[in-house]
Order: sequence, then structure tokens, then C-alpha cells
Amino acid sequence: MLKYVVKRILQAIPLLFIISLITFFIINLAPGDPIYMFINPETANPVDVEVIRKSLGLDKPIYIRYILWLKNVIQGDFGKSFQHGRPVLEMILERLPNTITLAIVSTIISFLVSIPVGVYSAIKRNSILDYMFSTFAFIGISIPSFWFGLMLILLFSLKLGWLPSGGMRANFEEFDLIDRLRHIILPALVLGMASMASQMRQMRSAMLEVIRQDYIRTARSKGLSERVVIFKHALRNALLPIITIIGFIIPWLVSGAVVTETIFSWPGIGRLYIHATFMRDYPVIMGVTIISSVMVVVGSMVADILYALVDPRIKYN
Amino acid sequence: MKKIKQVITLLLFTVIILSSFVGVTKAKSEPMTKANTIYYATFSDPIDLNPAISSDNASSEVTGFLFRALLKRDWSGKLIPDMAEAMPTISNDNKTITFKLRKGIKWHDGTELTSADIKFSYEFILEPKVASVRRSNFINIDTIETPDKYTVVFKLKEPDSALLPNFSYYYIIPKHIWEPELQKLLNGTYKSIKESKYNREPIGNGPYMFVEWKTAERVVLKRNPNFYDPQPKIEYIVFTITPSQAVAMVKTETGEADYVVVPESDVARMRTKSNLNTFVYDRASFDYIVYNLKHPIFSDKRVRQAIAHALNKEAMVKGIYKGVASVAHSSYHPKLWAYNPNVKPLQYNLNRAKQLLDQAGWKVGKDGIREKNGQKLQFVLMTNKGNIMREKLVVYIQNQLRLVGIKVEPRIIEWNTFLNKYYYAGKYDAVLLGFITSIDGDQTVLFHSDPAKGTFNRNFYKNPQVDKLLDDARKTFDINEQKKLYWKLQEIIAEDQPITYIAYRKNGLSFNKRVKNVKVVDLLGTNDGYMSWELQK
Amino acid sequence: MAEIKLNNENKSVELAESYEYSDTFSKKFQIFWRRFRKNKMAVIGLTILIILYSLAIFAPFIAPYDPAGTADDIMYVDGPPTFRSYVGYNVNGEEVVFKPNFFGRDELGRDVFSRCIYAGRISLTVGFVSVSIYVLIGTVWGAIAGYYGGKVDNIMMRIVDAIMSIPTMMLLITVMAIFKPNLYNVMIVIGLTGWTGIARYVRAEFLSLKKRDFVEAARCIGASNTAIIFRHILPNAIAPVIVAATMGLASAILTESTLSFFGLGVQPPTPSWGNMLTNAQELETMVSAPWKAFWPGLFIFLSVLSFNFVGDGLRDALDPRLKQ
Repeated sequence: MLKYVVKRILQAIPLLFIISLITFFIINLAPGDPIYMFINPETANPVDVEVIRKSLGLDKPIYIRYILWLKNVIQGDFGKSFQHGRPVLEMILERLPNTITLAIVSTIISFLVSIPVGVYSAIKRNSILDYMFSTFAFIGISIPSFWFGLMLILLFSLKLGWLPSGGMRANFEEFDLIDRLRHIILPALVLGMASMASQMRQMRSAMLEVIRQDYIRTARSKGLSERVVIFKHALRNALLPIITIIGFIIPWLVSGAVVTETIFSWPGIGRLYIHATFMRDYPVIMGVTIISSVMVVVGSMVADILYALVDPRIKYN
Repeated sequence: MKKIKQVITLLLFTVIILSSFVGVTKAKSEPMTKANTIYYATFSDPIDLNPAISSDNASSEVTGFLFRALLKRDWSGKLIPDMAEAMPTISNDNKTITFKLRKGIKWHDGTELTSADIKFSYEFILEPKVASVRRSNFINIDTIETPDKYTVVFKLKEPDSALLPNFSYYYIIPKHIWEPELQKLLNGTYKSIKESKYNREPIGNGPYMFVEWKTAERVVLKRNPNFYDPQPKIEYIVFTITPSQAVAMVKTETGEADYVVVPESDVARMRTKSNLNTFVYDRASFDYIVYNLKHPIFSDKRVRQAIAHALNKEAMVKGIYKGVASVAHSSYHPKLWAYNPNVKPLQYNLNRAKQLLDQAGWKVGKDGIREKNGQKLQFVLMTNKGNIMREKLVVYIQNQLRLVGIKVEPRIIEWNTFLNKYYYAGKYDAVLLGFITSIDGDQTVLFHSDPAKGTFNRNFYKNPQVDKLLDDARKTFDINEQKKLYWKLQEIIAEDQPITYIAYRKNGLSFNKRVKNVKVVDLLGTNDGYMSWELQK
Repeated sequence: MAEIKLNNENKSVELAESYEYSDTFSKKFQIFWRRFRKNKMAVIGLTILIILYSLAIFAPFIAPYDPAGTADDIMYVDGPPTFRSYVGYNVNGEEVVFKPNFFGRDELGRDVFSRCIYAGRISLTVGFVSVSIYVLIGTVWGAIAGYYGGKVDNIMMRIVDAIMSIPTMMLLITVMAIFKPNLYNVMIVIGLTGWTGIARYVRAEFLSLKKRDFVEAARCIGASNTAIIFRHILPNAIAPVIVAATMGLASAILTESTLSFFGLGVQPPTPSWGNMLTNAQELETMVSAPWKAFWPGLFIFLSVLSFNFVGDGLRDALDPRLKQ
């Protein structure tokens, strides 16, 4: 087992290296000079511009900048934001928990919906409800999420006044669970929408496959009630493959967070990222991209390992 | 199965851990309640709360409450003393400006504010390494002297009356905090002054003090009990950061926020809300077309005038600005004291436009586009991306000019690229931009042909007469004399038409009705009216 | 992201009839069509798509107005939908008869219906071109990796893994924000970022197909590697590519609209469904002139939904093995 874990970790390293290479070069080969994002080209004289350029390290050739940057990143230093002058890592860590909280809650919501619906659809397959769920799933992935989010705000905040229209909390003084839940429910729903739809389908097929297995037939033939068969025997086994989903929904969640956080004023890394892109704050763009990619890589690694742990059928060596 | 349970337990545990450390603030000594707090929905997170360097809107909205300046404006727009005891005395050669400071002004940390702080602040801005966007405003300052604790003397390189209004902006920062920080910049510890932590924990001298800044969530300010003037009535100000404008409107409508800047498109709607007071005020700001005067088409004055005649500005104001703007014919807003009402505007008149183009030798070709010597009358009209209003204007102008046989190709380009690759490089035919003028008469930056002075004169406009008028006006501190010069200037500019004005912008503000005593005035907006705002009990 | 499929559990019967390597094209097509028809949603989707494409292709004949034509008179700005011709005034103040504006007019007085169908040209083209780009890259990449295997495969697939690990929206936004957002860049960028999924499918197919008899046979008669890859294996590996490409068309349209939301999609005045929808984001618009947002929104929704339905139908019809 340990060997497998070590192997997975070793595989992740070159992956992260390639990711850093791709992002660094995309960003730094861009036309346009980032220097004008924080000095006024109107008033600065050329000498000053050069002084500042040098102080930011923008005067060196690109491959040297990459090596320097990589060296620092390995030591945990993602540089300082051009625009804010703050350490990039600090800016990311300040917001990362918010994004992760949102992602986790949205995943929980989507599991809470998709698992029962998937099971139901598998048991009662080709029933009217099964078709309705399928159609619903298709609709779920066909609506632009920014549009869906705005519609929810219009309905639940403006028309009905049930939920706040954005932000993470109203009560800053203490941790107020109800307040937090009221704020998280709409963004989590929007973020979870697409993955909910696909998990529904996956759960359904996983369940269908399990139901056809011999041990379920055995259980049935032993005269166990259908309820026991489904929930005690089938569901448990059908849930296993869902673990692997955790690995590949992370990139969706991060991508989705960029949109969701903007609409719902959620103080997460998605918004940090969007702001940085428009301001050409290269260190921040790099930092957020790398950290998110690390999350993706680690996420899929953990999912694989977990799966190996819980499923005795998988051999690792 | 045990394993699954373990996994789930582990996951739940992580959630609990994570959600518990998602920033929980300590309880404040004086509790913040709805009754003593005004909530302001702003559209973006501030960048740095340092008035000497910040250049974004969100930051200056916050620093406006935290800092005070030597001078301020009264409700008529006149400059009056603020931290200064009286208006400055100006020497006979107009090259020395002397301020006397009020005594007993304190920084928020209790340190006394003295002339040394003033001297330091302007030197800070003038230091090239600080890279302040304000530097050009003060470039005429030669030296600053502080004969005593309460006297500041500015020695100028040359007389400059345009410097006075600049003393009314909040650029004074505490020397005892910033001098060591400046040292770190000069000796290379900091690569940029933005690295200083005081940009995020500002110490000011204004009626409100900084309390906290939760990145991307909110900024909290608290009333300053030691302020040198009567205190404001509201205890707390909270800036709620709401990046989506539509959501910011929803927040204000539902009462989650008390105060919001309303985009033109939403003004009519917000006005119908019974729980809101919506104000609209004129701004000394306009959208305009800049012609590249080196371009063969635009080197002829008659073409520029024809375009001015061909634009239905009235329709644009109604359709695109939703009536929340007014037609512009000059860079001087009619409500400015320097405005010359005798200048005849180039009114919407298609026949006159066609006539001018005919005179200039542009004849209508087979495809309806005018041409001269085989060259078509067509040009690219550029604007920056992200300003929906301008994007719509460009399309509208394209269609308008087609009616008089001019072909326009709209091009919308990202701001940074737009400025550096095209506009500043002079590589454009015509651009559509916005400009905010000072509410005083000086417009050197727009029209002066010396690149060091006319920093926004990017279309190669050169008229020695205009240069002289602008220079002369800055050399005198006599308002009547200035007015005479600016009137003449407006006549020449209207005739030359180096730029064509479209509309003066207006600003919409919505306040919840629980906020009382709100005063909004044209050109000044809320000014420092927040001092008398009150919340209904 | 659109990896969902409709229920077609009653397929086991049909599986008896499957594609053979030796079948003629028309035989294969008959089998395909018989299966595809069974999926009603897919047929509905296909019908909608045919309508949408026809509208786009014949836009100049269908659109009552010039999509860029703004109204000079203010009374036509933000006009509500009208179903009859009406009398109004033109620029010169003369009375003229205007054709109906089925979907209303927008804030510049442009006809929303005309813009919607012209936008269809753009949006559908964005989908088509970007997907073509990534199918091409993905297929070649996957084919080479799968066919040669070993070290080549390892390196090539690590690069695929790396690109897949960067959240797509981030990659897209970074590239779009940095390079000029315009129609061509949108297509190129979506194309350059989307190919990884296809590469994986194709590689997997190649890994299993290259050991099959017909490949051996081709190699024995001295076919070159290129010939084996493109003439012999690829045609047999194309089914999952077609399915993924169809689903890809759906997500490309969604992606363009999301990019537009950030102002990074197709740039106005060129209309796309995405930027029309984004332009109608103001609260005021959504409340007082909902037609400006409703119609482009509906077009996006219908086209994306239809591509997904058709993709699902194709999967069932082309490659029963893909069914879980």
C-alpha cells in the first residue's frame, strides 16, 4: 500500500512541473507590458520605468525568470502581487478556505440529491420519473451557470426575500451557522448543478451494474426483503465508484467557482483570480493557477488512494 | 464498510475544522448594530488604502472618510480651508505658497499632525520610486520648507495656480509611520511601496478611523472621537464589497445595503422604489471622440465639424445613457464657472454635415461611401473593452455616420493593449474615451501641445494660441483673469474641433430612506456631506 | 463536462446487430440510423439543431432587419415585441412601415430577432471551428501516443494530464485576457484547451485496436505506420470521437457564453448568443425589457440541450460498448 502511495506521489511531481511550465509561459509571453498596470505611463519618465521594471525583475530573459520563480515556489514563496504588494501565498490562503467550504458544501448538496435520485432511477428504470430525472439532468448541464445564478438571486432574494443576495456572512462577530448556511445555499446550488446532473447518471449506472451481480441475486433468493437488498447490499457497493468522482470534480469546482464567486460576492480564490487577470497581476494569476492545479492533482491522487483502500478488488503494487 | 465510515468521519471532520477557521472576528468593545451603521455596497475590493498612491475608485471611496486635506470645497465648489487655518498666502511673484496649520490636529494613533507631515507627504509623492500617479500634479513644487510646527511653505519652480485645487485632495500621510517605510523602499528592502503593511492598516486624520478589512468581503470604519471638527453622526461605516452591479442593486432594494452608486441603466428603476431616495447629479466628466489629427481624413477641420453635426447626441443620451447624461458640446461643463455660454454648439444637422463634407471634396461614391482621389472616407473607431456604455456608443456612431456617407469600423480592445499599443503609440484613426475634468478651469492636460504638459493631448493637436492661453491662465491666481482666458480658449477649441464631445456623464446614488440629511450637489456629489448623515432611529 | 446519457436499457436486444469491419458504409449507416431513431430525445435534438442551423445559414433571407441597424429615433429603443407591421418614422422624419419585431428591439433599437439568428451564425461557428480544432489535435495526439506506446505514450499522456489538471475555465480566461478577445481567438483558444479528452479516448481505442488481427494483417503487407494509423485503425476508433465532439459542441457554446460573461468572448458589435445575454445582465433590463435576455438565453439553452441529446443518441447508436 505504502508503495502505491509513494508511486502516486512521485507521479504527481513531473505533472506539477509541466503545469508550472505551461502556465508560466502562457502568461509571460503575453503581449502588453504589465508595468503599466501600476505606474502611470502618462507621467513616468523612461528612467523611472526602467528602475521599476528592474525592481520587479521584469528586465531579465524569460527562462531566467522561470527558473528564479520556480526556485522560490519550491521554497513556498510565490512572490508578491504587482498590484497589492502582498505575498501571493498569503492572499491565496486568506481566501482558499472560503472556496473549499463552498466546494465541499456544494458537493454535499449534489451527493444528497444525486445518490437517492440515482438509486431510484436504477430501481425503477424506464419509469416516468426516471425519464424526468434524466431530462432534468440534461437541462442542468445546458443552462449557463451565470444566468442560472442571477435568476436564483432574482427569485429568492429580490422577489421572495428569503435568502441574502450574496456575500459569505452577515454576522462577522461570531460564527453563526444559520447565517452561514443562508449565505452558502444559493452559490453552492449553482456550483453543484452540473456535477449533480452527472453524478445522478453515474450513480444510476453503478447501481444498475451492482443489481445485476450474483450476490444480489443470492441475497434476493434467500428471501431478504427488497429494502434490505437494496440498501444493505447493493447501495454500499454502488457507492464505491463515486469516490473516484471526487478526484475529477475538483477542476469543475474550481472552474465553476470563478463564475459563482463573482455573482455571489463570495470571497474566494475564483474572484481573486478574475481580478488578477484583469489587472495582469502575473504573480497572483500564477499562484492561483498553480495552487488550484495542485488541488486537482492531490485530489485525484487522494481519490485513487481512497478507492484502493476501500475496494478490496483493486490491487496496488 | 468500516473503512467507508472512517472516510466519511474524516471528511466531516475536515469540514468542521475548515469552517471553524474561516475567519471569526473578535467581538468589538462597542457593538455594531443596524441602528448605528451605514452599509455601502461597493463594486470592488480596494487595492491600497494609501491616498498618496492609490488610483482605483474603491480605494479612494474609503480613504475619503479616513483622511483630510489642507483645503476642502464648500457646497458651492469654492476652496475653503480644512486643516489649514486660513486660505494660503501667495507671494507677489506667485511662486511661494504659505499655509498655516490648525493646531491640535491628531493622527488616529494620537500623534500630533504637524507641518513635517505635510512636507513629508508631498515629498513622498514626488519621489520617483514611489511611482505615485499623483506625481505630475505636484511637479511644479521645487522645495518645501517648515519654518515652524504649523507653517508650510511651498516654493514653486514657476507660478502655478492649478496647484491650489490639488491641495484639497487627501494626500497627507503620517510621517512617523511612512518615513521608515520609505527608507525600506529606498534601500531596496521593498521592491514597491505597495509592500508596506500600512497600505492595509491606514492611519489617517479624518472623521473616521480604520477598523478592519476582510479581503473581498468588507471594510469597516469607526467614528474618530478625537476629530478636530464636530463629529459625524453615524458610528460605523461598512463597505460591503459586491462585484456584480446587478446584485449590488438587489442588495440596496432589499435593505441589505443603505447606499449604492447606480449605473445609468438602473436609475429609472431605483427611483420607483419606495424605500429608496435616488439622487442624480451632474459630473464634470464627458465621453468624447478623439481624432488622430495626423490622419489624412481628420487633418481637415471640415470633416471633424461634419462629424460633430452628424451625431444625434440627443438620441444617444436618451437611448444609451437612459437620459442620465446631458448633451455635450464643450470640455467645459455648463455648470463650471469657467464655461463660456456664448460659444455656438455644432448642432445635429445632417444637411450641414453633408455640405461640409462636399466642400472638403468628399463625394458620395457608388456604394454610398464618400471618396476623394480614390480614397474612401472610412476609419476605425476604437474604444476600450469593459465599458458597456462606450461599446454601445461606438455601434451607434457607426450607424449615424453611415447616413452621411462615412464608413466606421468599430473596434473594441482590452484597456491595457488599447492604451499602450494604440492610443499612446498614436496608432489609431479615432478613439472613443471618457474624461474627468477638474471643476476648475485648467485643462492643460487635454489641449497643450507640449507632451510634458498636455499628457492627455494624444491626438497631436497643436495651436500656439491655445498653448499660450493655458500657460497664462496658470500663471495668474486671479479668477476673473483666468475666466477671460478660458472663454477665449473655448471659442478656439469649438472651431478647431480637435475632439468631438458626446455627453456629460451623471451619477446616480441611491440611499435607503432610513439615512437622513443626505445632500447631493451637482459637480460635487456628496462632498463631505456624510458628516451630517443620520440614521433614523 | 457533458458526460451524461439517457436511458436506453432496452438495448440489449439490438446488440445482436453490430457493426462489422467488413460492412459497407451504407450498411453501417442503416444500422446506425435504426438505433439512433430509437432515442426520441436525440431525434428531437437533431430536429432543433437542423432548425437552428437553417436559421443561421439562411439568416440574410429570414432576418427582417439588418442585425447592426440601429434605430435613429428614440421611440424604438427597447421596444417590446410586435407581431404586426407598424408605421413609424425614419431618420429623415418620413413615415415608413416597419416590419414586425418578433423578439422586440434592444437598447440601440436593433431587432432582437435578426440579431439572434445572426448570432446563431457566430455561436454555431465558434462551436464548430473550435471543436474541429480540438478533434484534430486530440485525435492525432491520442493516435500517436496509443500507437507507439511506451515512453512516447508516457510523455504525451503526462502532458495531457497536466493540461487537464489546470481548471479549464482558468486556462481559458488567462489566455483570453492576455490575448485580444475576438471571434478568432475565442475559437482558437477553446480549440487549444479542449483536446485532451479526445486524446484520451483515441489513445485508449488505439491501445486495444493495435493488437487486433486486421492491424497485424496490414503490417504484414507492408503498410507504413502512418497508413496503419490513419487508414486502418482510426476509422475504427472514430465512434467515441464523434460522440465527444458532439458533446463538445454543446460545451463550446456554453464556454463562449461564460467567456462573454467576463467580457472575454466574442466582442460586440458582432453578436453572439453569449454576448447578447451578457449585455442584458443589468437588473433593469431583466425586469423591464426581459425579451433582450430571454431569447438569446433560450437559443443557448436549446442548442446546448440538443447537442447533448444528439450526442447521447450517437453514443447509443455508434458504440454500444460505451454504455456503462
